[in-house]
Amino acid sequence: MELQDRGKMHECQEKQLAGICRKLLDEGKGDVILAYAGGEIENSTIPLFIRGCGEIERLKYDEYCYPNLAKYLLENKGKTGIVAKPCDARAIAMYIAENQLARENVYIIGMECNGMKNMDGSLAPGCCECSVHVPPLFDVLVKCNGEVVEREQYTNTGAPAGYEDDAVFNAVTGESGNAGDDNGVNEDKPLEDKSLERFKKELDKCILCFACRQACYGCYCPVCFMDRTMPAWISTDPGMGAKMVYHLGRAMHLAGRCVECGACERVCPSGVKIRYLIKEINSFCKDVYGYRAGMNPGEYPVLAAFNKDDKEIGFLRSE
Amino acid sequence: MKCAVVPREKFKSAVGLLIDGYVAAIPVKENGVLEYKKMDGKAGEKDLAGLAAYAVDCDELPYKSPKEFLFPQVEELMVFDNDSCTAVEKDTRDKIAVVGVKPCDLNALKVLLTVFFQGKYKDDNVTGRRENIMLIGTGCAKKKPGCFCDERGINKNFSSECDIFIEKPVDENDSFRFYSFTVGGDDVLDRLVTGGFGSYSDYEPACGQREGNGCEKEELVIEAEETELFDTADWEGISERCLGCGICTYICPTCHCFDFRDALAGNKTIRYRCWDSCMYPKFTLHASGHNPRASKKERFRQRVLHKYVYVKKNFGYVACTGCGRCIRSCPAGMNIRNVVREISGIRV
Ligand code: SF4
Ligand code: SF4
Ligand code: SF4
Ligand code: SF4
Repeated sequence: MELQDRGKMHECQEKQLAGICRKLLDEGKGDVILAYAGGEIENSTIPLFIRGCGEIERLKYDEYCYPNLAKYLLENKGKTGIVAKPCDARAIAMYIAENQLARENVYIIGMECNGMKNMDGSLAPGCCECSVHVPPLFDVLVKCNGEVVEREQYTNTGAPAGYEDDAVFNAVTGESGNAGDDNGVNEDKPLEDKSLERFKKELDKCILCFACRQACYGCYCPVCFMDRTMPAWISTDPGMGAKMVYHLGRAMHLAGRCVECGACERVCPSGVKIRYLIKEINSFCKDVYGYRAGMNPGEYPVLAAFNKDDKEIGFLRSE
Repeated sequence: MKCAVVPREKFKSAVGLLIDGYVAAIPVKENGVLEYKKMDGKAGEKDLAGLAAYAVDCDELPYKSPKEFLFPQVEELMVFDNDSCTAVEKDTRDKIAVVGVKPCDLNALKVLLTVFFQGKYKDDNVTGRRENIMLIGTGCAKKKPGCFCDERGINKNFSSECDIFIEKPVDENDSFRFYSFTVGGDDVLDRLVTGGFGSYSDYEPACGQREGNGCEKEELVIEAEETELFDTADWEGISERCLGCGICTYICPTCHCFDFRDALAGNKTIRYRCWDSCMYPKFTLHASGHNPRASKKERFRQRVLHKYVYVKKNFGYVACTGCGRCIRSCPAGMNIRNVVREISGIRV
């Protein structure tokens, strides 16, 4: 898709969004709507909390709507509407599956999405390898061409033609991931470099600020194990040991739960690219249990499900 | 203050002379992120002078601030067991030349030094480091997105809060000018001139004439008393977007809160100091379980008021230089400049 076409596509979607938000507020279906506004910095957007028509004026939807808005839903703001790209919608589906959110309290405005961009114009982390272009969960869907479809009327015809797989997607957009993202891990492709060196090289950069945890939809424990003091699990000295505990711990806690939004990678002040680990576990869950996070809110999360016939090869595999 | 004029063709070797005998901390770009890297001349294969000269010339602000050279993220203080206690040999004797520090960061380091030296408590570790660091400053040609140094009264083209400040040529006929502001700086300039890399001149810093933004007026300040803002400003609304990630405080050049921790190493205990952040819930958590800053509303309020009100009251400076780092890197688009404008009634 040509860049101008993309711009136009978001313009169509933005126009529809304003109408939908107004209607939601009028009909009292939402006390607040989580959406995007233009950021002060060029090529950025910021989360917007719409409570009245004045705020609808500030609404923006363009190719820089990369923040994942789902986490704000945990703050219990009453009946909430939310503009949800596929990754946000998958996070919402996970919240519902994990009993963190009641379906009736959230009105999901799904956005068909072909990937968001970083400030520098490269494809955002997460979006590079994303193959979900229609949110798996929504009340109303705004398609790329601006068409608005209610949930009841939507027949799942799959992804729009040409977008089913990443190769096609990348060929069409002419982009192949953001510069510097040399992870090259695709859910469907096996991990190329499994070395301890690679892991250590990434960890070396980490300063243990925990921003990746805060930005991740999936990290919502009231007190993270890393913050516990009685007993303390690690020292705050960012030594290799503490970093390994943190990153391996986080990866295991997110086993099969990562919705590939890329927020963790985007927020990192040190350019740590450790998401390949989480992605690897994701693809393991897909291969072994046929599970993909947030694709179906009715499905039991793989980490929470117990099956006595499970061989537990994930934990017990000794290779 | 002295000024030496250095012709273009000698610039690189002149910079090489400045960092000679120091471990050089030079901003280098790796994976698209510009960061200070400590480089030891002994490694030999790297062209340090070239990198340093490039860093002075480059008009970008490193992602993280240079505060770590005065105030490292982790520093061991003492080692003890049941019977003995020894202070850890200080690393403050490392001689580091920090290259290409922009005026906002130079001002920030001034704030840090004031906090660690002029208050009730003097921190020898931090001030001791300053004595062994050579700060080589340089100006910014353009404001970066999110920067508001001008509103904070900082001249982006010139600063004397360093040992040596390098002013870049304005056109192709112009030369570089090296200014010195400390005894250490004077010495290096002497060596530079005797070495034939430049000549002394009575050139005045181009402070008045050359900047795009003039010699600035400190516009963005909070005049109101803390008590007026503490409860009246809509902190809940203001902080609603914040995710509490703490990035703003880790990359801020003036944030200086720390924690003391003990770590067991064999049968001894190491006590160390490490950065902490007011944006973390654990920052104010009491042993009883009570937390006086229970939500992001209180935490964000602390961050803004600390920078703009408390440090100013205690040390005379506002602890925000308008470097814009927190604005550029916040995952939720929080903007301290707009918040300060909003609560102090300045129209956005
Ligand atoms: S681990 Fe990273 S990519 Fe996965 S859901 Fe969390 S923030 Fe998003
Ligand atoms: S955001 Fe980056 S530096 Fe901070 S803890 Fe995560 S990986 Fe480490
Ligand atoms: S960087 Fe932004 S989201 Fe993170 S703690 Fe600071 S203000 Fe909050
Ligand atoms: S508060 Fe933000 S703009 Fe101010 S000095 Fe710190 S990082 Fe820079």
